[in-house]
Amino acid sequence: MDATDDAAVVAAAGRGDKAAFALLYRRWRPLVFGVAFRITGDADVAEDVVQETFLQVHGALAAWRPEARLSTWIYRIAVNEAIDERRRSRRRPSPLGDLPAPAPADRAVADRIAEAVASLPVREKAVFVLRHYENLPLAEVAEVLGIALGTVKATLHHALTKLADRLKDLR
Amino acid sequence: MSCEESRERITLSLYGDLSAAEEAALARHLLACADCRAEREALAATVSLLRRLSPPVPGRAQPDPRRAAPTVPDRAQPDLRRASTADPGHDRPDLRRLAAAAAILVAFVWGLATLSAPPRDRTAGAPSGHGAVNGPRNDSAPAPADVASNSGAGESMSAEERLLAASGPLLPAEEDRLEGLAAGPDAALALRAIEKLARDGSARSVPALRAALARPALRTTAFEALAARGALAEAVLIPALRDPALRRVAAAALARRADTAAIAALLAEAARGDDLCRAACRAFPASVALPVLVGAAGAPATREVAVELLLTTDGDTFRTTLLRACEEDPALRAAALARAAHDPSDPRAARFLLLALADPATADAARAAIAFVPVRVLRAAIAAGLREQAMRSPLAAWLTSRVEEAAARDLLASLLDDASLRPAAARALLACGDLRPVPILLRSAAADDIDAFGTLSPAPRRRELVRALRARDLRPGALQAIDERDTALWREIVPFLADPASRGAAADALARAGADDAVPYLIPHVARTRSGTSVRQALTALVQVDLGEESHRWSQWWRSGALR
Repeated sequence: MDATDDAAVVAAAGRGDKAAFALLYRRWRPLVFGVAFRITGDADVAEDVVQETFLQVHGALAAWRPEARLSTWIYRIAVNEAIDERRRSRRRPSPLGDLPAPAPADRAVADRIAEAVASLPVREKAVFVLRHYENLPLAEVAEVLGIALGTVKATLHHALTKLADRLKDLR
Repeated sequence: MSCEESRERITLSLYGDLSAAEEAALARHLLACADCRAEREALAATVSLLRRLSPPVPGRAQPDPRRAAPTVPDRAQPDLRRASTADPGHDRPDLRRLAAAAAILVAFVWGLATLSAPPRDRTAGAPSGHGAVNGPRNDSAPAPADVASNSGAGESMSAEERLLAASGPLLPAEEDRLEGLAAGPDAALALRAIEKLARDGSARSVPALRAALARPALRTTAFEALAARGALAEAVLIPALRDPALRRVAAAALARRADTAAIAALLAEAARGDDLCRAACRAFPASVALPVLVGAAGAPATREVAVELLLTTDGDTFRTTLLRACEEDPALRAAALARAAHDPSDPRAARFLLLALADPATADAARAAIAFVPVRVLRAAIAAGLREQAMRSPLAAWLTSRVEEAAARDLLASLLDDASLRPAAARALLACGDLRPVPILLRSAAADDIDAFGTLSPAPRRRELVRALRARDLRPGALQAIDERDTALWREIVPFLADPASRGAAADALARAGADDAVPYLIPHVARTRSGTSVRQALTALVQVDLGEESHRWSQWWRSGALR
């Protein structure tokens, strides 16, 4: 999807075109859910974040300018919502929660990793999730979080060092 | 470079965020600093661990969501019936990282050569983090070199090596031996034994493969082999849909089962955003899929994905079933039409819109849904629909409402050969100045067609009539189309009085045109013949006098100057 396409869809959604907003949702939902899940560590909470994020997006469509990258804008809202939602720690029972888990050994390691990432300070967690899991370039991470590029580099290193320390028995 | 600077750069290097010059500087520092090398190994191992064993995002099909287009055309979807290997999306190397890793390697080699320092150990030339940075690797599985190092250690190992390297069907004793290796403590040998059993084992190897499912290093291979043999129950396959290493094989195996429980499980995952499961749902036959999809379309949580599948799975049965369900469920109707209007360039979505247009129960909603979709986008589907008798009339009506679009005009023009639709299509086209219907209407000369021609505005009407009067095949229709608006054309018509074949029609035309000037040209043709009677009637209509069937009485009357 290119920028022109984004601009057209956002413009249409901003004019109240429900179909355009639905398209926006379809396109960006996986991204929002992914970053929300990584930050909150919980699929149900991540679903809440998705809802909140798109509510915010809907309310702010008019504020978006085509010269700004849509992904950056949506990431920013999603990260903020995920951090807020994590703080609220709202949980709902999952309708699919009764499905069997994957292999126990891997699951235990995955849980440890999720726990270690979740225990990072907010900024470190956000930087780490966006660079490591979402594969965003450093410059875009800086743009999303509104911090300097140098700060992003240092923060990423601090986050990885902490994770290395907390997970050293698994390496 | 200080150690403090170096350590931040190590992290950046692991993510491919250093320039080539920075990588080279870091490599030189690492050669000289054992502490930083240790730090690099620890961080690289951590990145590797995080890449391999982080909990998967539920439903995410690809590692980079920005590259995973949510609206990938169905043609690009994998053929799940043939899929038998792990999701390649998880193993795809990132070229940027490959390049960065290559830069580090080059820098190390360069550094070693320059300093003439002998390598201290094998990992110095190829840091352990490389594999992790380049992409996930199953560390519990042995690298080829590791396996090779295990071989040739004695006569018994050589026999095992021969067995593992052989191809073709296995003898029972060989199968027993492989099962023993698969259950043994040596993970490398066990994996090779399982691979061999998976490839060449008979049905009796199934228990060994099942046992291997419990060992993480063997699980994927054993799972694939069991799935290929159809030896996995749904109770095993369904949870595996959430396991990144197994989900592709599990989805393909479920698709092959073709029962309602299998598609329901895939649909549940698809509703969570899993495109792989969504694609797998398309592999089910309509008889199995339709009841599940219609049920799911009625529930808000699964409506979106069910509608998508009903709309875009090959076969009109899916769309007509969706349409029937829409007739009874307004919310579903709105969702289905909105989705179809979203991407009407998909011929199946376009087809659904047209089916909905042709169905009285959904026609109004369909018209509203596609109000802003250009006809050219739907053109192929409309052209196909127009070939179906039952759809021609509603489509023609809808096209008429869109006549300002060139594509709609082209499609309407293609309807002009249908006598029942021709007048309406022609009126719409003529109203916007499209003259393609003119020769068709005049050649037909049916009353409705002539009426339709009558809607043409004055200037083109005069021009087209003059042209048509000069064309033998259009002349009868043109004469029939003449009316009081065409008085000025009397000179064009009078010559046809000379031809008995066209005399009657010409006389009628002159009468309808109220062409008083043509009276002296009509009088010589009054006679007892059929065409002569038409001339007499035309004269009577024009001068309000009837002097009978004798031409000389009319001539006398004319010479008396009665009219003038």
